[in-house]
Amino acid sequence: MRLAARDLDIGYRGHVVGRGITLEVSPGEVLCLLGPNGAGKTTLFRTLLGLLQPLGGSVFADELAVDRLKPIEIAKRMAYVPQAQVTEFAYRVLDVVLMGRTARLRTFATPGAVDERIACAKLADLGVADLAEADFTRISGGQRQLALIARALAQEAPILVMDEPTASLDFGNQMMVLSRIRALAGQGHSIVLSTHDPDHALLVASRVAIIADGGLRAMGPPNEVVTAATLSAIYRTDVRVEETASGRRVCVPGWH
Amino acid sequence: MRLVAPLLLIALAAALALALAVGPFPLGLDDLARAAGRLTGMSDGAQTPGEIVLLRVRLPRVAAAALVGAALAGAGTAYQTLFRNPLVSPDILGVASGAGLGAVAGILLSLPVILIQGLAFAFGLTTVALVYLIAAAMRGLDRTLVLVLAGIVMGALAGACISLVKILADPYDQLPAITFWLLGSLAGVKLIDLSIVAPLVLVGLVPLVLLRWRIGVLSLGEDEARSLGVDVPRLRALVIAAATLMTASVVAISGVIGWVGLMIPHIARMLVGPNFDRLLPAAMLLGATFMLVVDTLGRSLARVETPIGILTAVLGAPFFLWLLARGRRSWS
Repeated sequence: MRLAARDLDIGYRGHVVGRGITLEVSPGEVLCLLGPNGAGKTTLFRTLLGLLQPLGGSVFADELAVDRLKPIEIAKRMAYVPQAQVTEFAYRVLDVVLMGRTARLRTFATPGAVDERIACAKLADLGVADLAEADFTRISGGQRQLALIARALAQEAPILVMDEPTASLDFGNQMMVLSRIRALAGQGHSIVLSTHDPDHALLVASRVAIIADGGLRAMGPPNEVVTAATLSAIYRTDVRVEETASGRRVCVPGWH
Repeated sequence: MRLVAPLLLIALAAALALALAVGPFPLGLDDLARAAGRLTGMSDGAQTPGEIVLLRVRLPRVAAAALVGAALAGAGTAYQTLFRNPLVSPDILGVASGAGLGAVAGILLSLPVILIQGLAFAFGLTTVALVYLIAAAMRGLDRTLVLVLAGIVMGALAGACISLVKILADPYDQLPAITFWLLGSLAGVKLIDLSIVAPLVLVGLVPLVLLRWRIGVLSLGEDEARSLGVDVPRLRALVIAAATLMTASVVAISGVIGWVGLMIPHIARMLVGPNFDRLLPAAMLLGATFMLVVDTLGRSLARVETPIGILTAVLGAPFFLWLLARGRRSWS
C-alpha cells in the first residue's frame, strides 16, 4: 500500500509548522526524514498517522484520504512504531505485542490463541522470540524497540511509520534495527522513518526527505539529497560527505 | 498465576463468613443454616433472634461492604489504567468531594436518608460532568492533564463548600452526622438501598467488562492507543462515565471511603499483572474481601463503631509508604 501526502499543511490550530509538503512512499521503499530539531518531523508524523488533522491538503493510503477514516480503519493500513519508552505498567513483552492485534479484534473481544501465535511469530521474525515472557520495563532499549516493531507487525498493516527507531540505542542495536528495517521493506512494507543521523539515511533509505524551514526542502535518492551543501545548510554546521575505500558514503564534520 | 483466581474466591468466601459471624450479637453456623432454609422455603416456624439479626441487620451490611469494596476497587482500576498513573484513585475527578457536598447539604436541610443519598449521587455525577466539560472546553492542551487539574480544582471547591456547610450546621445534631458521613460508614445500609445501588453499579461495570481489552490499550497513551485502532475520545468518555457511576452509586450509601480504590488495584496488579482484562476482576474480588474485613474490624474493635474511612486510612497510609520505599522503576 502506498502512503502519500499531497500539498500537506501541518501544524496546530493557529500555528502552522510546515506548508505544501508532498511526499510518497511505495511498497518496498524506505523513506527517511531528516531535519533539525523542531523542524516539524513529529508534527508531520502525527499528521501522516491521522492523529492530527491536516491544516490543508491530505494524506492518502492508496487512494483513501486518511483524515476521513476511523482510527480502526487507519490502524489496519498503517502501524506506528513510537520511540521505545518505558510503559507505566510492567507488561510482559508478549502482552505489548498482542496490543498490536487490537484493530483485528471485534469490539468486545480479547486476543485468542491465533493472535498469540501471530504475536509470537512476529517476535521470532525479529529474532527475539525468547523475550515473549520478559518484563517490557526491564529489557534493554534495543529489545524494547524490536518489541514495538513486532507489535506494529502484529497489526498486519502494510505501511510502517517509525519515529526515530534508532534513537538512544547503542551502535550494535542501531545497526541491528536498521538491518531489520531493510529486511521489512524487502518483504513489501512501505516504511517511513525519521532519524537524526544522516548516515542512517545513507544506510537504509531508498529516498530521503529533508524537512526544514517550514516545509519540504528536498526529496530524492540519498545520493542526491544527502550532500555536504544540504546538510551544512539545515544543521547550520560544516558537514562533509566522504566516500570510504569500500565505496560507501559517510558524513563527517568539517573540523579535524 | 492460575492459582490466583481460586485463592481470591476462597479469600472472599472466608471474609463473607467472618463478616456474617462476627459482631455484637454472635452468630453460629446453625443460624446461617436456618436462615438459608427459610430463604429457600425449606424451614418455617418462629424466627430465632439469631435469624432476625442475620437477615435484617448483618446480611444487608455484609452485602453492602462487598458491593462498595468491589465497586471502588473496580473504578480505581479503570481510572489508573485510563490515566496511566498508579497514584490515581476513584476520586481523581472529584466524584467523592461532590457526593460529599450533596450529602452534607442534605443533612443540613434535615432531609430523609433516601434523599440525602440521592443528593450525594446527583452531586457526585454533576461534579465529574462539570470537570469533563471544563476539560473539553480547554482545547489544544494535554487532555489528561487538564482533566486531572480540573478534577483537583472542583474537588477543592466542593471541599470549601463542605466546610461552609459544617459551620452552618447544628453542632449537636447535624455536625456529628456530617462528620460520620464524611468518614464513611455502612451502619445504616438497608436492603432497599442495595436494591437501588447494585443495579447502578452493574450498569457501570458492564461497559468496563465488555471493552476490557481496549481499555487496557488506553494505558499506552493517547497517540499509541489511537494508532492501534482505539477511538480514544469516545472510549475515554465511556470509561469516565462508567467508573463515575460506580463510585457515585456506592458513595451515596457508604459515605466517603478513601484509599480502597487507590490501594487495592496495586495489590491486584502484583497478583495478576497489569493487563486490564485480568486486573479488573481480581481487583473487584480483592476490594470486596478487603472491605468485608475492614467493616468487620470497624464494628468489633471497640464498643463504639470505628468509621471505615479511618481504618482504611490507617491501613492505607503505611501500605503506600511501603510501595514508595520499594522504589521500583515501574509499577508491577
